[in-house]
Amino acid sequence: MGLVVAIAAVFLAVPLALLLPARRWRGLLLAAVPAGVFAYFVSLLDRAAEGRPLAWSAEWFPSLGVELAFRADGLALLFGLLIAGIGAFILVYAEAYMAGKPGAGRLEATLLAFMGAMLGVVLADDVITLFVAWELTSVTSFLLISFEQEKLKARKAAVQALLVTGAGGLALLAGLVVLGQAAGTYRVSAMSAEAVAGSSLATGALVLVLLGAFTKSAQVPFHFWLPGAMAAPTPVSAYLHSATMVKAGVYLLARLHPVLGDLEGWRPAVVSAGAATLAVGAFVAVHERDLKRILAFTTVGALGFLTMLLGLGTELAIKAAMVFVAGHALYKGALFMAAGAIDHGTGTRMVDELGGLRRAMPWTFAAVAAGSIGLAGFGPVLAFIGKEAALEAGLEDGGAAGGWALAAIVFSGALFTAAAVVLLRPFFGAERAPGHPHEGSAGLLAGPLALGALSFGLALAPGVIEGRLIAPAAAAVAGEPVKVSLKLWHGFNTALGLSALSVGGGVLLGFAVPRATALTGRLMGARWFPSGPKVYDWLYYGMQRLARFHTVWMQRGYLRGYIAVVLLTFVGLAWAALVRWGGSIERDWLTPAFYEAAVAATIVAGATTAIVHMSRLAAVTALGAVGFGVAIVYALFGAPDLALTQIVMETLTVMLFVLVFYRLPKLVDRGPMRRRLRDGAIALAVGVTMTVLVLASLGHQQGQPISSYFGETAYLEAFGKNVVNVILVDFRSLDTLGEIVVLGTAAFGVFALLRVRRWSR
Amino acid sequence: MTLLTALPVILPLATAVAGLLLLSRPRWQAPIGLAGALALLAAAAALLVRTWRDGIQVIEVGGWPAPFGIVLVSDMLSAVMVTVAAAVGLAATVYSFRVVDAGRISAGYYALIHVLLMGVCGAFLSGDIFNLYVWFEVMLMASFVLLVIGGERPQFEAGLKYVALNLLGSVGFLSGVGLLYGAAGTLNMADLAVRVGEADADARYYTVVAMLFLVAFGLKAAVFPLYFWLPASYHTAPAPVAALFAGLLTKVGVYSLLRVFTLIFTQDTGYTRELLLWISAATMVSGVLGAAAHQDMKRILSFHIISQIGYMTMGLALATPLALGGALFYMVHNIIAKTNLFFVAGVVRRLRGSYELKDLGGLARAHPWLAAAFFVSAFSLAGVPPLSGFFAKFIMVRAAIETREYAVAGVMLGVGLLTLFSMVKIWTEAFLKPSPGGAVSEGAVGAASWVPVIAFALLAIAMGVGAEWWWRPMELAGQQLFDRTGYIEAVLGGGAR
Repeated sequence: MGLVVAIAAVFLAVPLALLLPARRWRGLLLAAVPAGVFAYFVSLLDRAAEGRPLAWSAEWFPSLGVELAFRADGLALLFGLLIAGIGAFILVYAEAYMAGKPGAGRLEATLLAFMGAMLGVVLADDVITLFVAWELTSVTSFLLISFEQEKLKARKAAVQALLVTGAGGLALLAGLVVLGQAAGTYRVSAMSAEAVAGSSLATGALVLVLLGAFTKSAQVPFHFWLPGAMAAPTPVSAYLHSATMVKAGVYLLARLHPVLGDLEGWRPAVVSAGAATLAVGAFVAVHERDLKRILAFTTVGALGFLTMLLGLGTELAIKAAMVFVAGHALYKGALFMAAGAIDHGTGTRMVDELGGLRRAMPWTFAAVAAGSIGLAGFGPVLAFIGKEAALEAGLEDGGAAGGWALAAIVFSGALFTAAAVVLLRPFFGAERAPGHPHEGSAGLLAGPLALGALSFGLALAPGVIEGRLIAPAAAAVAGEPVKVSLKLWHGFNTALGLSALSVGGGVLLGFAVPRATALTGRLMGARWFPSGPKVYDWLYYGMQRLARFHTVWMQRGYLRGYIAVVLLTFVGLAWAALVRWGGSIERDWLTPAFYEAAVAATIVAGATTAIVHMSRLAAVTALGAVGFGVAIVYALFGAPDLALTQIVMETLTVMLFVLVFYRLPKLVDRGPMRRRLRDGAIALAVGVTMTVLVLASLGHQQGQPISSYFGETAYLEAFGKNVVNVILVDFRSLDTLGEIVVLGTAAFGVFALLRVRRWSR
Repeated sequence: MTLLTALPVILPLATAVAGLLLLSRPRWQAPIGLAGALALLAAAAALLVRTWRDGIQVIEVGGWPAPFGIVLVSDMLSAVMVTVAAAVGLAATVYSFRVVDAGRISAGYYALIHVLLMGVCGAFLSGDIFNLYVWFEVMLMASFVLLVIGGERPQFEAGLKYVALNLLGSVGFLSGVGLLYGAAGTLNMADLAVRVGEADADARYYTVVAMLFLVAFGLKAAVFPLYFWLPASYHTAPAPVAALFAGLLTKVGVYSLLRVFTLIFTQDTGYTRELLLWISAATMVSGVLGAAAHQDMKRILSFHIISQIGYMTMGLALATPLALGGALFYMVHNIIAKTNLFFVAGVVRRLRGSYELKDLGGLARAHPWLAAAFFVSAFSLAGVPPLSGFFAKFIMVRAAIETREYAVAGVMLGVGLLTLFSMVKIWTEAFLKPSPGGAVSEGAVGAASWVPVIAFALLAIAMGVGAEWWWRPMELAGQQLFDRTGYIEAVLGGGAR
């Protein structure tokens, strides 16, 4: 129950954020909610470590096996603590960042909604519950990126992020449904790897789930939406797009690792996606000049790093991933918030426009310095422990995947270090800034400093988390108990050597940026270079072009064309079914009596005249001939009353037509010959088809028609001598009632039209 | 057998007659319409409960026994559809207050709505194929008059296309009924089911006949490639009328397809379902592309109706109990979300005087509640959880995966993404983007318009959060459609021939 209360508390704070007045204490007050949740999660750690995690479930959609199920195992708590802990700082930070500007409450409310959804993702034990929360994070992310809604760039980035993660979300939904099918349950904790591996659906489930995870966690080639999302206010970037939401994909990989990790495709697919993302993210990062974009690309790289480790899936790699998740969230959160403080204090985020800030902004400098050490991954920081473990995992692996992983880590380690140097350079040299640089308020600094300090503190005293947090988390990912002992100093070994090598190279590279990246930068800026945004735009606008083409082609606006398509559809469907049926048609209709032939000829002649004649009057008269011909047919085949009705109808219709046509202009043109031929052919096809259908119906009478009942009972039970009348007013009186309503409505419509038109005049 | 089954036909008729008799008193029109709509909803709800508790309800009109007389039949599908129709009718009535001009009111606007509701309810309840045709005619005439009264040139042009194409469908329907009667010698649907089912040698002949019904109902339901009448006409109708049409008219077509292809034409399902599968997929894709191509709120929404019809007919094509119940779930969800989107579009139009996205902007700041209602309905339509559209999509996707129609599941999800795209297009353009005209003078929107907008947005949430409650009756409906013997026995008695 407590888990639901924790999530609900966060959601309930949403209206609070909207209603409270914009004061400095609002941020603090709101932050108390996630802080409380954080404390609650801490209290759950021991249960998770003992292997009896708190769980809660309720029926949601039991007919389809969907439950509202939550479970706080080590993995869930690791992420939950990050979400709640960083979230508390973010709320304080957001209040200071907005500094009383309108919309601050809306921003905090949406952040809280996101927080609730994100907690739902990591605590969910039912994959459908997880998916619901997952999509809610996409939607709240959309709202947050488009927060500055007047800016076109923000709107475009929001749509881009929503469509990319939305597409992944749909793949994920399919994947989860397939997975549920294969496993026989939607409960993650009840899924068995054997059952899934034994199902023919396993590969499908894996591919689809990976697509969902990769788009959400910005893996190459879907990574481009994340730098675009930097259009959001900085608190959002710091929270969603570095520490939490983008890790949802990584979380999902970790969560499903016990179920899917042993499948054949897992290792190659996940390791290669992760390694490529790590390399690309790190590589592009050093080409960027905007603080937030540098951070965004290093985030992409870090997400690749985590993905790659989960792809390796060895015990060591999993441990490394769990440590790095926490380490990255701390240093990246600090860096993002500090970047916002720089933007606030100087009016720009472009590194080239800044210099010598360490005197004016000493605290911000401290935060950036702490974060940069984490980014470089060299020093007494938590991320360093994670990176060393990862290197060891790569060394230990020995296979091709391990080798690739190792290469990617060393390569990107250098580039990350270079990026860290770039981030630090604005604080050195002569003072330079567009505005007058000044230090941020306490609210802006508390978050980055605290996170930066934690990054050091946890590295110096890893015992605080190794047994209670990292070990249960790693155990949940590995699917079996894992022993974890974290040490900052492992002595001089190969991993440390590799680390030192790449960091040393990175420092040198960092000082050479931007000269060193001039050429590659130009290459990536080339028009033909297939960058993510270009491909997205191509698809986006291509789809719209296709849509326009399709629609102009389909919906042309001419009734004639619409009728033609409808008729041809009918002809096509009818003939396909007729051919398939392949029944024979009786031939006696080929030898009619002479009077029958005469009537038929009259009807055909009448119809032909109606088509050919240019005078409307003549055409109507000819149609009248058709009608009378039909009446004779009725009379010949035993329905004299119907024939009489038809004659009355026909007479009236012709008279009405004549009256109306008197007022119409002369018919002068019937359009080009080609069109007339085409229309004629269509009409003929319909006529032939109808005729064949009617002929085909002969000889299929089945059972006694109900009409015999009417004949038998009309007089005896309904007391009417005229059977047709009895049918109309008694047996099928409801039909008659309906038809009366139709006629009444039609008459009334005509009356109303005339009346309204007079009224509007 | 009680009168309750017939009340959803009788009450709107009585309301319409009362309205027309008092046409000279325009002030009475709206109250009469409201009273009638409330009564209809109450009757429909009672019928739903009765059908849920006691099983399929049958009334033999005039006391003539089936299959000779006409029967009205309420199974779960019918009962749910009647209830939803009544709810939409009530909402449209309330929404019309102070929106519809005096000219239309004195031309019997409210009475015509009830004639339309009578036709819709009659179609949902009829157990007789010719009687169904009659209700189609009632609907067609009432909707045509509603479309053109008080209208100008665009309405007449649209009305012409609407009525011409729909009459074509009616001709097909009537021809189909004729051929069917010629062969099977009966009009009662349950009796037809029995007779067609016994026609072993001629099973494929009946498939030929079924094509006429496919074309007729497909046209009414606006499936590809028969949907032209819909985008040609809906956008010209006044907001409440467009909402009513969008919610109900095409669904009668879908209902009829569901009915005849689960009850009567089950003799050759391999072929008909494959055909329906392709038609449904094409409908989904074609409709959503049409929506993506447009920049006018009402036109976008109109094309989305088409796209979503494809999901419903897909339920019929997949034809498992889950898929059939899912089709109904989808239909109800869609009626709620789509009707409300048309309501919102109408409010936008009254505020800003346009449906064109390029003329609109800044509505989220100016009208946060309207924005919230739109957001909920639009994202529900796009299938975002935990709104109604999510479980609708979930059920359909699961049904497709269970029947191993993976491509179908893929199409459904892909179309879902494009739906999201065009909903977001409206959202960013009309609601987020700064208003292009700078400061805007806004028209007034009365409280009466807000009630249905907020109510339907809440329904969209309720249907997602409380999906199980909504699903139970639909699950039963799916089972009844899947196994038609219950229907046949209820109509013809246990000793059916």
